[in-house]
Amino acid sequence: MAEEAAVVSRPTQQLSSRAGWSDIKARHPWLVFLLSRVARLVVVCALLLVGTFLMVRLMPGDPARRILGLQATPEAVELTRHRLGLDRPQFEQLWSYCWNALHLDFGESFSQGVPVRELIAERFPKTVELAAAATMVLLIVGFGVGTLMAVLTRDGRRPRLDATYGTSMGALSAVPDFVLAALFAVVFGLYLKWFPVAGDNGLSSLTLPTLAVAIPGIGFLSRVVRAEALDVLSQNYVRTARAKRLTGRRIYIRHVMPNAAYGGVTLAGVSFASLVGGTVVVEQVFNWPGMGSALTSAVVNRDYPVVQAGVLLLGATVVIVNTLVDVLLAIVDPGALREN
Amino acid sequence: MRNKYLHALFRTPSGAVGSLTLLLIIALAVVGPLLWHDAAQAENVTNLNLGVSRDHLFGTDGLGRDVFARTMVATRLSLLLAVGAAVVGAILGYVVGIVIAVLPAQLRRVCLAAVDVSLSFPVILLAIVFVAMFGGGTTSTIVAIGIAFAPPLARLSSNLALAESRKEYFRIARTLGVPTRTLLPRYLLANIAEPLLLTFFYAIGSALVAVSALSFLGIGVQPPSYDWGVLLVNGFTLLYVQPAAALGPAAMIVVTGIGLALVGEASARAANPRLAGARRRTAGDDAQNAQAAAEPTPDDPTSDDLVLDVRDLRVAFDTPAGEVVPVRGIDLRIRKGEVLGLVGESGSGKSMTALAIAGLAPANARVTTERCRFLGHAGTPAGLRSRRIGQRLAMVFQDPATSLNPAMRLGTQMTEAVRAGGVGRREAVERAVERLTDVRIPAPASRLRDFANQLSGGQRQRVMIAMGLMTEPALIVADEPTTALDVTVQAQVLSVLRDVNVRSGASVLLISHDMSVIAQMCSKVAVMYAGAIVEYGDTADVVHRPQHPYTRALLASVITLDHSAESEAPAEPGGVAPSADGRNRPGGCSYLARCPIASERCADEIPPLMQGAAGEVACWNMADKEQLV
Ligand code: SF4
Repeated sequence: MAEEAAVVSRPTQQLSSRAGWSDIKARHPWLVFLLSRVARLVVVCALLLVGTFLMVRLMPGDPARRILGLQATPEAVELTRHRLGLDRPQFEQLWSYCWNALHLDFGESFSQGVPVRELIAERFPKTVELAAAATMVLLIVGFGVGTLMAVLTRDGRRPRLDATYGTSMGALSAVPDFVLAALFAVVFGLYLKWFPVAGDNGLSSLTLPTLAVAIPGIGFLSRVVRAEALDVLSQNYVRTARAKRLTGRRIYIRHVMPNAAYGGVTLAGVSFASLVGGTVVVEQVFNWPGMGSALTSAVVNRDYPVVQAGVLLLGATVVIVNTLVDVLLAIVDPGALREN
Repeated sequence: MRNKYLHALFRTPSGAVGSLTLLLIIALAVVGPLLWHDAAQAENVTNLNLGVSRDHLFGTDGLGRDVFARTMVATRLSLLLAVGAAVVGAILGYVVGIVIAVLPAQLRRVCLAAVDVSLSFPVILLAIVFVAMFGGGTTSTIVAIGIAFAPPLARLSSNLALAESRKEYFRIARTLGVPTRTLLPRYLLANIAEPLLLTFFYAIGSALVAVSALSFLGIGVQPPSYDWGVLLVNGFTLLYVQPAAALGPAAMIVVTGIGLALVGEASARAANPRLAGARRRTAGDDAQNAQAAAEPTPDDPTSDDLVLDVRDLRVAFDTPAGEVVPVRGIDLRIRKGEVLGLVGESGSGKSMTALAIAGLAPANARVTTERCRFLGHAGTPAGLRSRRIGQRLAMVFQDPATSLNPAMRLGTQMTEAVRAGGVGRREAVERAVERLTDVRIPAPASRLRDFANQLSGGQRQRVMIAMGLMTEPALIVADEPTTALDVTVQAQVLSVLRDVNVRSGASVLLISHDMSVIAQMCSKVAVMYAGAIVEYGDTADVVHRPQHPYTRALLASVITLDHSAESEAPAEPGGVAPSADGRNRPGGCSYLARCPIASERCADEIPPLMQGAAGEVACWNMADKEQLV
C-alpha cells in the first residue's frame, strides 16, 4: 500500500517544480492529497467499467451463441444479440453501457427476469455483512495473537514457542476456506447442531460462515502483526519511553500501539477489501444469499448482465475501501502527509 | 545449493514431514490412475451412498462408485492443474515483472501502479471473471487461475529485478557495455532465480486451493473429469447422508497444501539462514540481579557526594557462538555536578555501559555489578526502573530523529513523565516551556503542539535534553549526543548541555568517540577499550600527559576515530582490534595486538587499573609509572 501511494504521488512531485503548484501543495496538503486519491479512484473505476464491458465482447465466439447453446435457432440468437445490444456499433454500446451503469441500470437478468439492480440491492448488503463480521473477527484475533506473540518472543525469548507458532500458523494458512467451511458445516452444523448449516436466519447463521472466512486469514495476519509489533518495540523512541520510566502499560498504549496502528489500519482495510470479493466460496457452502453465490450461479447460467454488475460492484468496493484506507492513514499519521 | 536445500529439508522435523508427504502425493499422482481407475469408474446400483466401511474407506457416491478410489485417481489431475496454473502465472508474471523493471522510469511507475491496483482484487474474483469469459473446463481453469496469479508474481519479480539492477556490479557491467542479451540472463536472472523459484513453489500451493475452489463452485473442472474440488462438492451434496465423501477429498487438499507450505518454509530457511535459528535468551539473569541486590552494601563515608557509584559492572550475552562480554568489569564514580567523559572507539562497550547503568540493557543481556549506588540508594541498575529514583537519571540518545516518538506531540512527550508522577497538566506545560527556553528553542509554547518531524536535527536533540530535564535529573547520561548532527550544530548542543550542567547542577556522563568533544566538556575522563577502562583521570592530565598507549593513539588521531554510530552489537569481530569475546582471548592485555610498546609480560598477565603519575592506568609499561596499587 505504502509503496503504491509513493508511486502514485510521484507525478505531483514532478509538477511541483512549477512554482504555483508547489505553493498550492505547501498550503493545502490535504486538498492536494485528496484530489490525487479521488483522481486515482475515478481512473480505476473507469477501467473497471471498460473492463467489464470488454469481458463480454472479448469472449471467444459469439456471446449470444454461448448463452443459448449450439441448438438455438438463428432467430433466437439474433434476439439475444439485440438484447445484449451487440447489434449496435461498438462505441455506442460502450457509451450506453457506461451511462446505464452510472445510473445503476444493468438491464435484466437473463435467468431470473428481474432487473439486475433489484437482485444486487438484495444480495450485496448480505455480502458486506458477512465480510464485515469476518473482518472484525480476523482483526481482533489476528491482532491479539500477533501482539501477544511479539511480547512473548521478543529478543529471542521462548524459542520453542516461536517455532511452534510459526509452523502452526503456516499450516493454518494452508487450509482453504471452503474446506474449513465444509468441516464446520459437518462438525458444528450436522453433528453438534450448534448452528444452522445453510441459509440466513440471523446471527446464528452468520457464525459459521464468518469463522470459515476469517480463520484462514488469521495465520497470515497474526504473523504480519507480530513482525510489525516487534519492529515498533525495537524502535529508539520506545527505548526513550522506557528511559522516562513510564509504566509498561503506558508504553504499550501510548507509544507502541499508535505507531503499530498505522500498519493496523492498512491491514484492516486490505482484509476487508479482499474479503468483500473473497467470500464467494464460503457463501456457496452455506447457501448464504450474498453477491458471491449470485455471481457463481450467474457464471454457471451465463447470465452476463449479473456477472458484469457483480464484478463491477465488488471491484469498485475493493478500490473504494482502499482509498478510504489511504485517507485514514493520512489522518493517523499527518506527519507523513506533510513530508509527502 | 542442492545439498543446502536437501539438508535444510530434512534437518527440521517439519521439513522432513513436509517433504515425505509431498513425495507420497507425487507418487500417488503417478500410480493413482493406474491402480484405482477401474474401481473409480465402477458403478454399482446396490451400493448407493454407502457410509465408511472396510471396502469403501470414504464410502460411495450417488452412483455407487468408490469415493476413495476416485480421490486417489483425482490426485493426478489436481496436481497437474495446480502446477499448470502456477506455470502460466509464473511465466506471465515474471515476464511482465522483469519487463517492467527494465522500462524507463516514468513508464515503469505507471505500470507498477497498474499492477498494484490489480493486486488489490481477490484472486478468486479475477479467476471468476476469466472463467466467465472462457467458459468452464480444464484448460480455461488453468488459464484463468494463471492470469489471476500473475499480478503478485509480477510485483515480486519487478521488485527483485529492480533491487538487483541497482547493485554496483550490475551498473559496472552495464557501463562496461555488456549487451542486454547477456546482461539480462547472466547477471539479472541468475541472481534472482532463487527467490523466484521459491515463490513459484508457494504459488503451486495457492493454485491448488484456487483450482479446487473453482471446481467446488462448479465452474472449474467439468464432469466427467474430476479433481478433488469436484469430488468435494459432490460429497458436499451428500453431507447429511455420508460426510466422508466430502471429508476425504478435503483432507487430501489440506494435506497437500500443508506439505507444500512446510517444504516451502524449510527451503526459505535454507535460502535465508538468518531465519534459521532463533536467538537464545539467557536464563537466570533476573536471578543473578536479585542476588546482586541482596549483597550487603557497606556504607562508605567518602561516597556522600557520589551521584553514581558502580563497581565491577559486567554485561554479557549468550550467543550461539558462546558468551560475548561487551563490558568486562568496570568501575564508574560520578560526583555531584561532575562531567565525566567516557571515550573509546566503536565496539569498546561504552554505549552498552550507558544502557546498563540506566537499566535499559537488552532483555537477553546479563548485567551484574558488585556494587551499585545511585543517589545513595543501593540496588541494581535494573532497580532504576522504579519511577521515583529512575527519573532522576535522564538519557540523551545518539539519534534524536528516531528517539522521539513520531506519532506523539512534543508537548505530550515532554510532560508525560512528570504527569505520571502526579504533576498537574498546567504546571507540567509551564515547566516544559521553561525547559525548552533553557535549551534555547524559539517560540517554545507553540512548539509543544508540533511533531518531531517538524524540527531540525539540532532542535530535536535539544528537545531531548529538555525532556530529560523535566524530571530534575541528578545525572544525565548522554550517549554520543552530537554524533548524528552537523558540525555547526554540534557546538550548539554541547553548549546547551554545559549550561544545563552549570545551572541545574546535574552531573553528566558524556559518552563519545570524539576526544575533542570530551576535552571541551569534561572535568574527568575514562578511556575505554575492549570492554574495560584503560585510563582514568582529570581531563587535563589525560589529554596532555596520556599514559596508556591507546590513549596516545586516540589523541594522535583526534576527531577522526570513527564517524559511524556505535552499534549495540556487543563484539567487534576479528581484525586488528581484539574481540571482546572472552573465549579466544589469551590471558594478556587486550591491546597487545595493536600496542607499539608491548613487552613479554603483556602477553601473560592482564594489566589491572593502577595508580599512575596523575590518574589510573591499565598498562604494564605506562609512561610515568610510580607505584603499584
Ligand atoms: S600492557 Fe603491554 S600491551 Fe597492554 S597497553 Fe601496556 S604495553 Fe601495551
